[in-house]
Amino acid sequence: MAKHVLNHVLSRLLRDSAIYNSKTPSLFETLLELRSDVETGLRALGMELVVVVDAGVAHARNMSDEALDALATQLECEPISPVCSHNRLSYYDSVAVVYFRMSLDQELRQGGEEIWLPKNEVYDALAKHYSESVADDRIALDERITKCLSRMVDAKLLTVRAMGSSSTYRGTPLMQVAFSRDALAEFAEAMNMIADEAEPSKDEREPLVQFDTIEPAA
Amino acid sequence: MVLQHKIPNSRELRLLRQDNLAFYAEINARAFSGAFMSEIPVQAYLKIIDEVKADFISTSPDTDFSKSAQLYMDMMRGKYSSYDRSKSEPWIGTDTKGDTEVVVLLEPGARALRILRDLDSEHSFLAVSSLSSLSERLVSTAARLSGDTTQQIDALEARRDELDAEIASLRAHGATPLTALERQTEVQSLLADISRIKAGFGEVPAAKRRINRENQDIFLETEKPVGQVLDIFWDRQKDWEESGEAAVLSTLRDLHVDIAKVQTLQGSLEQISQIGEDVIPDHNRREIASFLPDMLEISNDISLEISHIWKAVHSYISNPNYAARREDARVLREAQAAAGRIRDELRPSPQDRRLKEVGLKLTMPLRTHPVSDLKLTMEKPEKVDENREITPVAEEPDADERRLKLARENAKSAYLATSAIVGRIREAMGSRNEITLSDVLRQFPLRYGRHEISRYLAVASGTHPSVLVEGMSFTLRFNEHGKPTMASVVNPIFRSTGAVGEGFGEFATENYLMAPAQMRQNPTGYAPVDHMKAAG
Repeated sequence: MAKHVLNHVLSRLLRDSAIYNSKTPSLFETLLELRSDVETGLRALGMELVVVVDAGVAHARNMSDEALDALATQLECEPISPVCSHNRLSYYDSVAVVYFRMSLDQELRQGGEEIWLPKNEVYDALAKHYSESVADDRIALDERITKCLSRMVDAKLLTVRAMGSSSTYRGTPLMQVAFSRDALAEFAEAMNMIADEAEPSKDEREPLVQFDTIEPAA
Repeated sequence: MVLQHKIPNSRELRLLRQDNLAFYAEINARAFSGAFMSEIPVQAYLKIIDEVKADFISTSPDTDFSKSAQLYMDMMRGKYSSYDRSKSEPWIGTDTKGDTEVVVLLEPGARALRILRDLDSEHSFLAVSSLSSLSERLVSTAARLSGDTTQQIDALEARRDELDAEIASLRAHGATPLTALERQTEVQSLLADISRIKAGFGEVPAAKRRINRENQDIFLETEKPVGQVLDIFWDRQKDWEESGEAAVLSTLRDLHVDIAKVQTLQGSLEQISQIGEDVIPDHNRREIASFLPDMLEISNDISLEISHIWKAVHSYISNPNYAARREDARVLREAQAAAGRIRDELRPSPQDRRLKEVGLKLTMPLRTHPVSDLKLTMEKPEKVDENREITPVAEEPDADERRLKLARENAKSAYLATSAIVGRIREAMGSRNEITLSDVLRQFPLRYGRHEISRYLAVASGTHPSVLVEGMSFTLRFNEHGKPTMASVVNPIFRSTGAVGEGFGEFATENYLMAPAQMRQNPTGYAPVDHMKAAG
């Protein structure tokens, strides 16, 4: 019987990649009871279990390449490939993940009260990550950001909530657990490496063009 | 040099130099007053911009105020990439309070408004008022600065003697009516005090934001054990408690709990407002009457918020996972800084190849169902009809058809967008508190069949307050691809407030009615209700 329950937990983790306390409290509770067995089961598949009890989420995540190599060495077997595939988010989607993760992090510092970010604020914050030449075309930029947010909602990393005529956004519990600290550090390192190697662009050698502030005529 | 060094970097002066100063100052003076002294909801702020626009258009019809309120607000936030900080300065910022986005007046904006408000103060009257109390203040200040007990007692006794003499004179001769000059002086002095107190209070919300910001720095930059971080935290809390802003809040809080004292003060303010009717302009009279209640209410809210901030910080640092969370926060900040470098040093185009392989990896769900048996369905071989008429291959649809198709797709997307669905639900709900899906569909008949039903259910489970009651369903008849079709559909109740998707559990609303019947899930605990068949 216990094996069937474990099988159920594992299959749900693999099929949906996460179990939420808010949606299936009894399954989440079972997972906590069988945590050690679930971890062992996932480990055999090259995956790791991440549970954040406060956020009510458990997620089955692929181990990092280094961890997989170490596991293969420990088991004295051939290199291990994780059973689940992964998607590499685009650079701008990843930057958006960092932005929403920071907001979730701020929630923890402020006593856990949910922070729903207004649409305008989200668009402004994400727009800052595009270079000037892109940011100048505000309509095209807004379209890019809309698509980015839509992809994140589809990937269940982001929740959107209607607020009057506008919307507010908040990272989901899955966003909190889907990316390890090492993965975020690796992302930061990769960005720094590219920035270090960046050739000074033509724009930098030339004096910057100053734009007049758009002000209503007095 | 007395003043020269203050001018080049003055943020207030940058605001005061704006060509359209009158317009922006008027908006902010109207917005940040009364109950909205510290912050105002965005929608209310936009409304005020429109009101000020209308007033300016009526008084200066030649001036161009054709831009939208949102644009003016964005400019006051210093939002545009072309915004040149050397020329101007943001007036406002935004914040969230619960579910509401609010606008806050930044410190330079508050100070610029104070300078402008002081312009119409009668400084000669203020000088008279200040001079009359100067001698008393000088004696008192000298005694307190000296730290000498005897001198302080002497000063208080002298003050008491003066008060006794004043009381005796009143008893002997009765009250002497004030001259017009004296009335004017008293009123101007009171208004100046109110203005100063409000300006001082205007700094308090900024202090709250500063505490939050500085606390964040402690978390991220202090490379010390938890015990020492807690020590730093206690020191910072003590510093705050000794600050001017905390003193303002503390005084108001003490006043807030002393109801009798508040009533006396409010009574005095209203009396002044009535008696001084001839010398106090209308807008100042309103200000005097609402001054105390507004201040007390707002200060109480801010006190609670700041107290909550300190509690949250303490709880965060004391959490067993503090060290790990601090590491996470640092890594996130590093990533954000690195993204800033990419933007500034790489200046990439959106499709920059150098960034192609840079991104976080997201583990995807397993594609094959791990527990079910695999049953491969064989495709039914096409029956060849020897006698069938051979028709030519259809030509590529021309541009008009493509445009028409695209327009249809766009119209469908717009009609099924979450905001449009929510809009129809709210319109159907009207002033009621709840409405069922079937009632919504009576008012807005289906246009896009099962796809539209799925969208309503997705909104019910994930966006709009709603409840799904076991067993509630309705039968729907509609045409699909020209065929009359019938479906039995669950019937959630949309509510004006409350939890989103209550009772939905794992109900797969997104693909409801889109998948074959046997694969559809239903809320746990009751029999399937969704079945589709050709209508008879």
